[in-house]
Amino acid sequence: MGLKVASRVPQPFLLLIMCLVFIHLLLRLTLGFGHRTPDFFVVALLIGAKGWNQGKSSALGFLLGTLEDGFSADSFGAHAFSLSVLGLVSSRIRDIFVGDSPVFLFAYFFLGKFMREVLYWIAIGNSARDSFLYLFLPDAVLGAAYVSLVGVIVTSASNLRYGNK
Amino acid sequence: MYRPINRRKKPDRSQLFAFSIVFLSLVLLYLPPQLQETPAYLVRATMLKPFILAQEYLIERKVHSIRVEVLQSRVDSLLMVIINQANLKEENTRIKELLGVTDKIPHHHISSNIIRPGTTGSEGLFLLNVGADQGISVSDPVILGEGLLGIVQEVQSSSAVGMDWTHFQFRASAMTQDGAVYGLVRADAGSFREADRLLIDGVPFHQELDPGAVLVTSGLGGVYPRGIPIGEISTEAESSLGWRRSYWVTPFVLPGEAVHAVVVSPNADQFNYEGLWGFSSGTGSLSRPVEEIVRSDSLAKN
Repeated sequence: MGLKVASRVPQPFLLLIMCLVFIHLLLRLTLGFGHRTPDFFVVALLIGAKGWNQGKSSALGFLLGTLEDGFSADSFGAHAFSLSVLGLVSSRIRDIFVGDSPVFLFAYFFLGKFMREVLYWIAIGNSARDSFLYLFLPDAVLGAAYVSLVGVIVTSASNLRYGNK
Repeated sequence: MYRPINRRKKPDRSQLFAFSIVFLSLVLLYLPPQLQETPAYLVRATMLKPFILAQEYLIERKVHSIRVEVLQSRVDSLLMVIINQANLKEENTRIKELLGVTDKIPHHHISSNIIRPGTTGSEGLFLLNVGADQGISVSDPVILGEGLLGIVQEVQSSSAVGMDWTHFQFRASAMTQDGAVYGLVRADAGSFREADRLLIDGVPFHQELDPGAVLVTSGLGGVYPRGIPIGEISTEAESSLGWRRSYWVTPFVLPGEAVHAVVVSPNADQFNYEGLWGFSSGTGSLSRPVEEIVRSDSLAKN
């Protein structure tokens, strides 16, 4: 029941995801801010995964990952793999994060972003891989907190109530 | 919301579709590198194209906004250098004629804007707004006024992908300015990206380099023309058991500051490589005997 209802996605929801994708590419690619901006792809994917089924979430992850892979000359597909798996898993476990409270949402986005970094680190291959400690202790934790903060703000601002759609 | 396990749905088409997508991503991941270039280029040439063009436009505006006074001062400085080198050039040409040494390999230069993707996994890579149509080919060096920035990695018809010296695959054969000490320069990742630096490895143990010594490309391997500045020696990094030394190198070029660069491309169409070293074919001797060189020397005639 829940899945069928959730599959009927309202237009503003889709518009929100498209806006986040556009903002990500605009800030990181066009304006060249790079990692100073949060990973809006992950925010869009995790928001999408709360409203869509596993197939759609995984497809969205694959599409976003392929966009990100456009500049990965050495490991094309690593982003597509990490984001499609994240879409699948986050859509699968969304029922655990039933609340719309900021704490739940923060944990949801934090774990999602951290998991994306782990999957990417696994997929990218030995040659391009940074050491585990360098990547995860400062960067991934801070990046996950950054994404969580933005995710909570975006979700609250858009005033979407996924469980009640 | 919680549902008991026995009431949960069995795998449906959506789940199978999701696993198919993941499998497809794994197929992409394990494609050979040559085959990976095509889908990456297609993504850049279609969905990402508007964003790349917008960045290119912004960079062009940034380049054009450099103050005229700054450009004028640079032109004046270059003019002084050219005037001062006029005598040197004449002497050099004369000495070459006397010794029977031919000219260096000619290179033509193609200027390009540098575009940074800024996405995860693209660290150390940049886009050039010139490609095969303008004469760019794979492994062409990319330089700035200060020295070597990197190398072209992929080439399409009107664009190219290059890697700068911070990329983990970057290698360049280097030497000191006097050509006395040779080694291989490679990137060494720092604790964070801004701390990336260069390392020259393979220096023989009996040869020491002083801090501040300038390194240039040696031309060995045929990728980089000889003499492009790379950086200067900072401190000794390692000396392994009386066998070899390695030194940290402070690069002259900071990749983050690069918005405009020059691609150096060997002009193979107009150059005859057989006459480069002046050897006569088959004999293994110099094409001009020493006696002939001495006879042609105007000083000897006088």
